[in-house]
Amino acid sequence: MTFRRRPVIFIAGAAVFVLALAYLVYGGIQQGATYWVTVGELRGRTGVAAQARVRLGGTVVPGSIAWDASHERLRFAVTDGTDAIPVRYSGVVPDIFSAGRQVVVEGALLPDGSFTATTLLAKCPTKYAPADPQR
Amino acid sequence: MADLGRFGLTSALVLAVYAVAAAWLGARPRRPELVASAVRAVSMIAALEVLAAVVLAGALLGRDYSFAYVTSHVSNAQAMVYDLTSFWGGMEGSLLLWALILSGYSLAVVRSIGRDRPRLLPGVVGVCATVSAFFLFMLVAVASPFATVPFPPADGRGMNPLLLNPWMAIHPPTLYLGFVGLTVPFAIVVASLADGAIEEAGVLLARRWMLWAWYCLTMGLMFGAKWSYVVLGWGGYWAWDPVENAALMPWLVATAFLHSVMIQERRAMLGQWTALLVVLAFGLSIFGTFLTRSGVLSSIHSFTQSPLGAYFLGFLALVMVGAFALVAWRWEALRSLNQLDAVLSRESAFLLNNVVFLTTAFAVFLGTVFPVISEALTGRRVNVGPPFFDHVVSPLALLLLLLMGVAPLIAWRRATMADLRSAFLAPGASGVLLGLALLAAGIRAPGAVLAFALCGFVAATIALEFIRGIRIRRTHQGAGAVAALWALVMSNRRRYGGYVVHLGILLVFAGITGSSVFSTQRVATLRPGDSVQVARYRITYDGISEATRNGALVVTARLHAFEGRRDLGPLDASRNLFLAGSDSTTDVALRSTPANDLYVILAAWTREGEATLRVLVNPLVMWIWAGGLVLTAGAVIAMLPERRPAPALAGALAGALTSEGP
Repeated sequence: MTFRRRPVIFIAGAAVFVLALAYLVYGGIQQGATYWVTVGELRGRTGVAAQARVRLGGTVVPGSIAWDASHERLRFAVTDGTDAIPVRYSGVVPDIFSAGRQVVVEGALLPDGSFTATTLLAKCPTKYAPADPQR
Repeated sequence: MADLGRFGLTSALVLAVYAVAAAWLGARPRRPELVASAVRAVSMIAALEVLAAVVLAGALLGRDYSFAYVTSHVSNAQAMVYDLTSFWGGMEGSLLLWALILSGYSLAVVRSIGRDRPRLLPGVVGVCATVSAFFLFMLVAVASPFATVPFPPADGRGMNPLLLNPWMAIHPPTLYLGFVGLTVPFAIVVASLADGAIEEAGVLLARRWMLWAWYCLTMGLMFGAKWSYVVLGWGGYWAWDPVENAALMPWLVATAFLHSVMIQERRAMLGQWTALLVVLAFGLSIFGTFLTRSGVLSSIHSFTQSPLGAYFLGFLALVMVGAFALVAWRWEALRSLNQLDAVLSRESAFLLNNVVFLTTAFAVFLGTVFPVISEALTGRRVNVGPPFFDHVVSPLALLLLLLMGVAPLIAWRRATMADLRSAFLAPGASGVLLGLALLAAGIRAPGAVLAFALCGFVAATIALEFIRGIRIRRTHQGAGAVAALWALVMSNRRRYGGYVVHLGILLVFAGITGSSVFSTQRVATLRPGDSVQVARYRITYDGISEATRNGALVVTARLHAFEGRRDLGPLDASRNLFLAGSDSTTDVALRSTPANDLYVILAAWTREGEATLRVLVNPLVMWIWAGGLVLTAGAVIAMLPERRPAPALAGALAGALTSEGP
């Protein structure tokens, strides 16, 4: 029997596998990780930190939605209630996107103080579970 | 009527608690009359849940707006069929559906266990009733579908228009059949462990149920992807959304189980591992429901921040701790009789396959809960998006593809180099040739060439298996090729059904590779009469038209598609703007061929008649849906009951023709 040899091979195999996985996960996080920030937090940032790629959550300011002249880019503002940031986005606009809805945009702040987004996620309206006033 | 529904659920809850107690007390020392009483309670629970479901369905169909649930999911303008599907359009109704499906499964498993393995009956009844009790408690105390409103409105709010689609009508019940189906193998394994008799039969019984649950999960995922593709109008079918991942994780673990159980059956190995997989799959099904329903991770699906989350997590923790403790307690009894003989053997290929499946599930889990983990560890919420999943899962998926070709052909126990050469020379050569052909055709994406080459390799191994089997049968019986194929498949349904499932997976794999690597898209703003060229297609824009339909203003861009000089006919890309509220939905212009899909979204338009179109050409998407059909055929073959004992080669044909029993 290969009783003596087997554990060594399997342990070596497991080690290689775990290392490869760790490398993959590390690389994936490097590529995909984005911080969640609120409008206030992003406004408060300065320097390099201000231009990092982030996920910005907030509410779409009513009346702020407009398409630019070529209709390829959407402009709107996202607010946390006190402060607002103008957002420019080109890409597929979710059907449920509209003024007053909660959205998450992924992208980075430009030096001019506006935010370019490459991803736009809109939260489903509360229609599914109506806010229950009695509860 | 609401009181009747509430009464049904409350009494069902009481009975479920009773059934748990009776099954527990009846288990040891054995008191058959108590166990029989628990079984009767399970039947009563099912009847009471049916009563509650009938009340809810009646209220939905009758548009009884005194029910809060009806008010928020039905409206007078909604088509009748969607009144019924709104049963599972919201949280309360879908919990009721969950409980109902569980009761159906409980009745079925109690029947079959009572017949085949009465020793396991108390345990199975106990586990099923425990899970029932949890869901009934949620339905009674936390999320009642029978809440009423004091002043019923004249019209309801209706379902979200995005859900008014045939694919969305069948996606949740199918997925739930899979999710809930994972409870049954869990109950069987827990019952076997509690009973101490961890015999093969218990795990093999669990296998049949797992195969069914796995198939339903697969179809649920497929329907969800199809819905996402044709309804959401973003051009894709999978976004690594937490809710999609919630269904993918138990699917991965269930797939691992279906493979490891073969090793357990043939070689009496991996017993501990297999038991753990069953527990894990069940845990992930509860976790998935928690993810979907609690809104802990911001996602396009998570509709609600509700108190449900805490209950779900509590139940999940309790069940997992209990089940893992049980496995630990029986650890020695589960120990395998055999050990791996050689590194180069089918056993170790299957073991590696299992490790990779679990690793993939773990990576998906890590990515899904990363925001929560990072917030707990560093105080900052960090999200990892699709790039993370693509980066981590793609190499693992390629490895699985390779193993899919290797594992079924490599010898049991110990393979020699000579065996490998004879088994893999032809398939390996086909894979390499396909890869070279693709390179010669100008395809340069290395991942895609590798994926297609591996697909070719696996397809060749499967074809070779069929050819070899048919040839042996023909020399022994002199039958025609078709008869020999039929006899071959029918005499070993699990094996050849499995191969057909693998073929389906190959198609899905090729479709995913093609559409994710070679998709092209273009955004263009056109005036009437203008045209835009994307890949081989040219789209002309004829103008915009408006109409009112089903309470929505339908804005349609009239398009015409050409491929070279060939006229492909008119296409319509529309947006539906709902007059009530601010909802809108997209109707994509979609023209599917086996080679590629032409997919046009109307993004925006102006009063002057300009339209902004997003045009995508997605190659091979149709292969994914075709893969689903092939996979269904394979799963049906594998699920057909096999004659026991397995018929010998000579009697196989006769056996195959007469065993179409239950």
